[in-house]
Amino acid sequence: VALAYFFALASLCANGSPREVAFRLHNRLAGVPPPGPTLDRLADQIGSGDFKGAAKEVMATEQFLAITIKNWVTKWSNSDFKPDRPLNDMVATIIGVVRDDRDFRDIFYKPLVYAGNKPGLTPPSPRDNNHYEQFENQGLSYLTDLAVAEQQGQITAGIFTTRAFALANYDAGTNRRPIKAIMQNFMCKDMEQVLDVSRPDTHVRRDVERQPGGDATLYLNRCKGCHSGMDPMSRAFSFLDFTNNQLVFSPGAVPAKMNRSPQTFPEGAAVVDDGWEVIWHQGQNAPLGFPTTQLKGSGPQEFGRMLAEVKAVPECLAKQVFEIVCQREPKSTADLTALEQVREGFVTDGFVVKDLFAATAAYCLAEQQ
Amino acid sequence: MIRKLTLATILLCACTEKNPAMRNPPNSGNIVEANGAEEREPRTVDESNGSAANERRTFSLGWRSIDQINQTFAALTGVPVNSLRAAFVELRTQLSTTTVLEEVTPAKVGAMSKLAANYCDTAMRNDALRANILGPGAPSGHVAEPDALAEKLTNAFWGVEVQDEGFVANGRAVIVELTTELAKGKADAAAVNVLVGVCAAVLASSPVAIF
Repeated sequence: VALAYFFALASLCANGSPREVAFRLHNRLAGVPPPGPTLDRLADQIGSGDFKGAAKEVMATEQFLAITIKNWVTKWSNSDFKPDRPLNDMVATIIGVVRDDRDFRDIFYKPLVYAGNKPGLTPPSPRDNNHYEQFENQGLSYLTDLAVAEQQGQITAGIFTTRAFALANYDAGTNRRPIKAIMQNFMCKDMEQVLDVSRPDTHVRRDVERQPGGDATLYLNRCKGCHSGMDPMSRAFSFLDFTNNQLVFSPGAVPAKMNRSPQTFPEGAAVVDDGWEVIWHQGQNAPLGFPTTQLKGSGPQEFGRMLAEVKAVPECLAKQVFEIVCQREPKSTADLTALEQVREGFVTDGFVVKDLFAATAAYCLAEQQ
Repeated sequence: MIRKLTLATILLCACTEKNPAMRNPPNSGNIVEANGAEEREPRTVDESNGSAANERRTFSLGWRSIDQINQTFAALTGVPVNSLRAAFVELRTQLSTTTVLEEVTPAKVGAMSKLAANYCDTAMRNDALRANILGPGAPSGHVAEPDALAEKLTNAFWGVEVQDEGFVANGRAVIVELTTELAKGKADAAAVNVLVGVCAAVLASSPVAIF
């Protein structure tokens, strides 16, 4: 990582004025142009070789959290994958984790949630999003008015037990949606891309037709490819539902929706508990890097701990940050090499998201000279 | 208002068309091919010899999305975001949700121009905010000096010190022309309306929207 910064800085000094770089840096990381004094300070820092310090200063701004991080992660918190949605508990929690330089993987299993700490705010409620909408509508600060707290409830598993995630993923359906969201948001894979018909279909549930339209080949060549891996993982969320406008945890009682339409294929797998299993550690999805020592577990928290060890997660996060900072997909050999270095630094240095942004900016801004 | 917005959009388009530098300003560097066509997709290897060592540098621009544009307008004009929350809420569904330049449509540009008009309306009618951008003086005084007005507005909004000099000069010429046109036959009392229109045109232009 240090070497990457060195080369990036060498390139900056050789090709662009520190002032130009500072201007771009602020625009890309904070989403807004820098005020004059800030520009002066950033230019000085960059001119004296402290690019990372300059990046860190930009990332200490309200806008970095309120614009760049919020727009990025809000997409993860709704089923439409849209960035322009009101603030919610899941997004606030991720913003807080980023702000506080916590290990990003905490969001997958730690019992934490961030909420506003300003007197007068409606307290957070499991039944509505009013607290977070008020926080946003009152223009409160993500730097000073957002505080960490313990998640309440019988079950806690990072973002997977936030109200926003529950609304987006446990409402109705069959609780397969969380897996689709996790694959898309944290492994950068649509379900189509992980379709693997070579894996056994032992765990495919009873509601999946084995001969859709009377054609078994459709199941064998398409449906099975996703369901064989998705269904055993989705069992992690078996005891979770979203009803009456709130997350409902029913330990030991699998909601009826998990075993919907049993007559469709009675010989299929029944969901009896929240024991989950990963079978995509082999086959064409092996490169995703599921941890082979954690392929089975119970409930969302253990699932989150497993997810924290999946190699594709830091790769995916690095790719998303690259697209935000560089405004394009990484495609060239140079991009891919840089991306790998940045990912490696992110993992080695403890999954601190600001480091990911800083290292990516060093590469892209150096390149743009 | 309609006329103002039209002018803002025209200026935006005019600047983009007239100035090759706009397509490839120093803070961006989008590839401009010999035929003038831009490409967003990186070209990874020099086709002439296929050597990775000769990879072409690839540069990309972004278009500020909803919150970015709103906060940028607020930062540049000094108008607090919350004071124009109603206007923003009304327009937000029409603003760009992505930063992908290729996905920008005329409707999104139009919405951005309307938002800029709101910010400029507030800023130019407030003595302190106007003075922060243009320096002291009555609106009529600023309108009477179109060259100085163009310089002050671009200095305030465009980050001119990091823009291409030729592009800035051309842009200022367009702004002078716009100011002169708008001010024709107007009484001094209407000068503030001219300022609002010119301010909105500069604020909603590509050096602000593209980053």
